[in-house]
Amino acid sequence: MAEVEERIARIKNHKGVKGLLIVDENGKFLRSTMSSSGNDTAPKQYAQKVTELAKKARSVVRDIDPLNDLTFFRVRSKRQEIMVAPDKNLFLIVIQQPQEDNE
Amino acid sequence: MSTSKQTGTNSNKGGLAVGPTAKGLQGGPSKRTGGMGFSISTKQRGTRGNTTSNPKYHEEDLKYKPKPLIVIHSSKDNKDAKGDKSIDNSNQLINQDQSKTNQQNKDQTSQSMQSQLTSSFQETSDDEEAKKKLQEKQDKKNKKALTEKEIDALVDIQIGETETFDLLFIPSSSVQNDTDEQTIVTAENKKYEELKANKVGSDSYNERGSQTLNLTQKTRDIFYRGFIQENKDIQATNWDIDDASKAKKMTEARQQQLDYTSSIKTIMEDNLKNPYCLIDAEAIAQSHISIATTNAGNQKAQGQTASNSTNSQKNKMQTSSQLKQSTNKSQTSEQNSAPSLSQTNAQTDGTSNAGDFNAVPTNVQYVDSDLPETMMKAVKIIERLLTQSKYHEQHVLYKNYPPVNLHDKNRKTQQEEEDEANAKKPLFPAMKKDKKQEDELKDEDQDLEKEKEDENAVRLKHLFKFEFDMTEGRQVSCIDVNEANPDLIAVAYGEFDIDCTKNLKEGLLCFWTLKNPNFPEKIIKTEHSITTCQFSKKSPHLIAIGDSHGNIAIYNVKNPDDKPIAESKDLEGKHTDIVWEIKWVERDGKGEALVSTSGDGRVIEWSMKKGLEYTEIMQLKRETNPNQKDVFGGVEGDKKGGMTFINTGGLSIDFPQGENGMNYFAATEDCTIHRCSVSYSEQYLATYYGHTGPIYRIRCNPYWDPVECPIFITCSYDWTVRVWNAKDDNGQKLICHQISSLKEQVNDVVWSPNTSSVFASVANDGRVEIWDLFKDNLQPQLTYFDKNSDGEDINTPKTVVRFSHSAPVVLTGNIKGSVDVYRVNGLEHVQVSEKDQIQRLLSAIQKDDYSDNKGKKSEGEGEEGQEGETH
Repeated sequence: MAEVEERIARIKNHKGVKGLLIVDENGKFLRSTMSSSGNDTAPKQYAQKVTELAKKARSVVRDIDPLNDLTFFRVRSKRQEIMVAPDKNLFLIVIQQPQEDNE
Repeated sequence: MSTSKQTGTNSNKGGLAVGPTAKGLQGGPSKRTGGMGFSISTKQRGTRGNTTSNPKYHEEDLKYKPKPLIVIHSSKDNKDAKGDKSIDNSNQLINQDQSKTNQQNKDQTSQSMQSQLTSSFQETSDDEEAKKKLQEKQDKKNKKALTEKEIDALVDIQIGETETFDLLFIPSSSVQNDTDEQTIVTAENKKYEELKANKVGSDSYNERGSQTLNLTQKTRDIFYRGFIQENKDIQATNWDIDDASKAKKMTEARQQQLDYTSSIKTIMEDNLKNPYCLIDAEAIAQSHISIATTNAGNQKAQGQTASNSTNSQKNKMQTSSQLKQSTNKSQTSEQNSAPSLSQTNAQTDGTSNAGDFNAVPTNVQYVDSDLPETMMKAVKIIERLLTQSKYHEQHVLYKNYPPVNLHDKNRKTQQEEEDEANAKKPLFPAMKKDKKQEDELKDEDQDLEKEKEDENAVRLKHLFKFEFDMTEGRQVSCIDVNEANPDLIAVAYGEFDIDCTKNLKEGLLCFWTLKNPNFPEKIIKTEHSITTCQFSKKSPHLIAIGDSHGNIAIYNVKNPDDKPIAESKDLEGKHTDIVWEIKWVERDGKGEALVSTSGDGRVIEWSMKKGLEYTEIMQLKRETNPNQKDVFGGVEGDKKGGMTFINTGGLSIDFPQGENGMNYFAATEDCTIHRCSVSYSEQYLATYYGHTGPIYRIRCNPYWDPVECPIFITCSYDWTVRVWNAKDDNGQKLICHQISSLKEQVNDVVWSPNTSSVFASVANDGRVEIWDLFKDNLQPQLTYFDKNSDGEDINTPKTVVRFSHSAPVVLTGNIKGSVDVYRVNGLEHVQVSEKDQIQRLLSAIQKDDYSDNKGKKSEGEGEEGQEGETH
């Protein structure tokens, strides 16, 4: 357990990581590093939408081959990159802004 | 209907008469209709048409025709009627009633058409009475006319049987003779008989009629809302079903647990009911709660939920559920479940909770605060993803190993970047990302240009820097790249310099992977600082290390813990000084052996057959350099050239390829190189002099051939790197390489595994040099310094250098604890055969063939001058 926490802390401090969310399949938060102030509904939106997308992705993979399963998927957009790693019932979502790397 | 009619005419003028029995005597329409109520089977020949008004039940339409039991031939055959008297007695009986029946038949027919009750009702009106009277008259006439004939006439009446249906059916049962049941049954039967007999005249039984009163009924309305319906769509995909079937198996297990607990429950309950039960429920409950909490402490995931529940809900119920949980978990005896029983009320809740906790651990309440262990995998993946996105370019460079033409590779990456840039350019030209990519493009262009100019220029491009917080302040003492998994790098941290016997900290062995330069995959801490390490070639999951206290240890990388699988700490004959180098040697038929050398002057071979055993294969005795008597001669007044009895520390050993691990080279602190054999532990096979400082590393060429190409290379404290040819015992044919600007000790040298004439060296002033003897004997192909942000050279001493055998990279370690990975461009990576490689090397060296080309002032000549200088 501690190791998991440790790793999560490292991820949080990783360069470019804007936020980290851990949500369950219903969209409920377990962890969030993004500020969820009253005005800012972004984390909630992320949680909801991304889990929908993740479920869809998973069903795509599994429909094609039921023995297969989704390992992770990334959505690279102009401004950021969303990375999702599904666990059994959880989704670990990381939003990273790829500031260009060390040369 | 018609029956009623008839009686009506006879007895009553109007009204109904229900008298089926009367009919029966007269042999009218069949009485045997049972419940059907239609006279299907009567066939009255003397009448017109059918009696049945319902065509459906026409006789001929029936599937089966009920067999007539009594067939009465009718008056149709009146003329022949008399001849038909030969029918049985029953008919005769009926014949007697012929007259009446005929009458009645007539009546029937006339009225049969109107076979409905309603019609009969109607006809009871006055009009009908008149009709009746007329009819009566007619009938009488008819009667008079017919009676004589008809008396004798035979009337066919068919009486059949309708379907029988059972209202009550009690099947009989039977028992075998000579069984227990039989006696019971016969006894019962007997009793019954007696009862029947007694019943008749006994006083206990009175016949008595009863009447059921049907109470008046009252309707009552109920308002019923009905079910609320809701439509819900569910789609079950293949994998959904698959998952569900797997889950079902788990619930079966849970079911078993529930059964188990419930059976325990019942047993305990029974026991507890017994007032003499000795189980002290309370006490056990007390003790067991403490057990539960300690269990909770030990079992992480479930324990936390248990503790959470104790914290959050202090109901007894919850404690019982924990107890149940620990019961289920530990499968303790029935006794332990007693407290739960005695304490709980809501048993079912407890069991269901326990079942949940145990059967499906991932469903454990994670919502509260803690994350389950299963998250580990997802977290790891995310971490990898992050580093991947961050180091994407470097990864590409690392992995992409173009055989010849670097242009293509550059074009490829260029194109990728161009595409991305183009896609974004028109829209968001100001984006940081774009800019950087454009910059990169420009760099690439420049690089391309440069390359076009000088294709053979060797370049190093920094890719990764492996370091993390723990490595700060430590020195990298050794790097090894795993053969089986070239992405796995073992880095040993410890003190490097010879004379740092002061601050010996604990050692660190980190396993880094390419996929994550920010944090090692595995960390092993050792008691003493590690000075050398190497992966086993035969079993790549084993790694051997030597440390600064003379211990060697072998670790299994796959083990989750930090303990070595073998170590020499407690062995008597272990090294007594710093272990400087450790090497795995593969021998045919004998497996792999481990050879180590240390500052105490002994070369020891270790074997793992029975624990860790060692054999000393050499003691490095000091030998004075016959060419330099003055330097060492006067140490202890020994004779020149004679063997002294002092051991010198062995700083490096190497086994050349292809000699089956029997011969090896040892480089010592006293500037000599000895060639030794495993079988001779007393004498050296050869000694090579030349260095003027302790030799830090000796390496045999990977394309070693004992006859053709016995070339090895050494680096030393004396600022030089020397290439030796082992053929010549005098060691005269040697080439010495020194750069004038290099005024620091050379810490490490390594041959390139792919090209026989290429080697790399690192020095204490932070430089990395790459040499290609084939191209140039005098100058290194590349002298590289790490640049800091101002563009100046960073001079942190580099301690180790390695080539990677599968990727075009060079790894170096420095005393600040970081490992840098560089991509090497420009090295001519010709895929040639071994022989060609040897040729290449030899020809490279033969350029410096002094004996032959002493006079030449071409490439090789500068060497001599240098040689003279250094010597």
